[in-house]
Amino acid sequence: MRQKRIELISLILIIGLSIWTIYYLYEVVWGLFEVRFIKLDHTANVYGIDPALITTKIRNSLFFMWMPTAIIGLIGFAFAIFGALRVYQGRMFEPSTQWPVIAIGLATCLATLCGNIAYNLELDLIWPLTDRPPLARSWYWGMETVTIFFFGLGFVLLGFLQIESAKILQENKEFV
Amino acid sequence: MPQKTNDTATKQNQKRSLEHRIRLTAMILFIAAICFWFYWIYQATTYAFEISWTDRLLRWRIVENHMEITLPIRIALFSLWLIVIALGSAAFYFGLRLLYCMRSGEYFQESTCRAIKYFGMFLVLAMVGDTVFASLDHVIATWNNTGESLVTDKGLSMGRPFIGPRFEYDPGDISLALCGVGFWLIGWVFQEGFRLQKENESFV
Repeated sequence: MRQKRIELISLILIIGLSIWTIYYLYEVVWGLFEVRFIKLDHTANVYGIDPALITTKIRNSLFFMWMPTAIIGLIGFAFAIFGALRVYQGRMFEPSTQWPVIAIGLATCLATLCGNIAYNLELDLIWPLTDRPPLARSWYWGMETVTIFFFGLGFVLLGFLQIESAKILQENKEFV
Repeated sequence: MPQKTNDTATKQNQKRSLEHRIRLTAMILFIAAICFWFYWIYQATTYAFEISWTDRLLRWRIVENHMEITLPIRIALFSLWLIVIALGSAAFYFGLRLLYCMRSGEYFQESTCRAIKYFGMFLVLAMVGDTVFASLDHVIATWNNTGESLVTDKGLSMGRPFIGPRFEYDPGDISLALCGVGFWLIGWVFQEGFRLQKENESFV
């Protein structure tokens, strides 16, 4: 009964993650391409500047600055689906399931860091083109950035915990 | 024979090193999480207080300026956000418990598994609450709107319509809710693993 319930929840998680990955592909990966190369006025409208000031060089820089965040995020989702699939198959404590959990955590931390760096670089690049006064702070970060970074670290820790638990279970099994 | 002894010693050293790393990471995270909890509570309660008990609501431009924001509306808005703060705080509490268990070296214990599970569960609830209540607060705020403009001492006050329930979401909330489901699931599986281990032990 419990096994069935775990399978059900992991199946719901797999479906949820898959839908979210497709949304992420559309919103982040395609969106990144769209706002830089198709909707050419988008960035200029966001900052309220003349679109002519956003040169191709700036456009390319912005695209490649945000690219690592999008790719690492996608890798994180892939690991998350893989991990959930392992739980669904009842192979949680196998050695091959331990590294995806650590990988999810590392990908989350890295994506958050890259996103924060890209956001601040974008500000440094675009803000001088506006008429507004210089930025009050040299570095900007949001509460969400810190929260998701902590979650990443939490997953890394959970991965280590899983390694320890698997060892204990293996030792017991061998003993029995 | 000496080779075997060396192997065992190396394995023990590796295990000790991993344990040390887990404990150190857990301790750093524990301290950081406590600081962040206080910061989060300060930010969240300030927001809830400003929305409910100050005139910030009028600056939303969805409430008619000539309407008085009644006490029940203020109480309803405050209670709504207090629920999210309470659920978020419960998630923080179980997160801290989990880190404390790890810091104490309780890796595969009933308390650790339960902390992981409840941490995930309350996180999901808090994020669902945040998403649902974010669309409900417009309903409550515009409850008394008449839709008629009025000339007041301060000039013309525009009439604004009542806003019904509508779905809005923050991608960050959905990501955190999915993380929560992940933690919940892992906690559950750990609990099952722990149960199996107990059964094995009682069998021996």
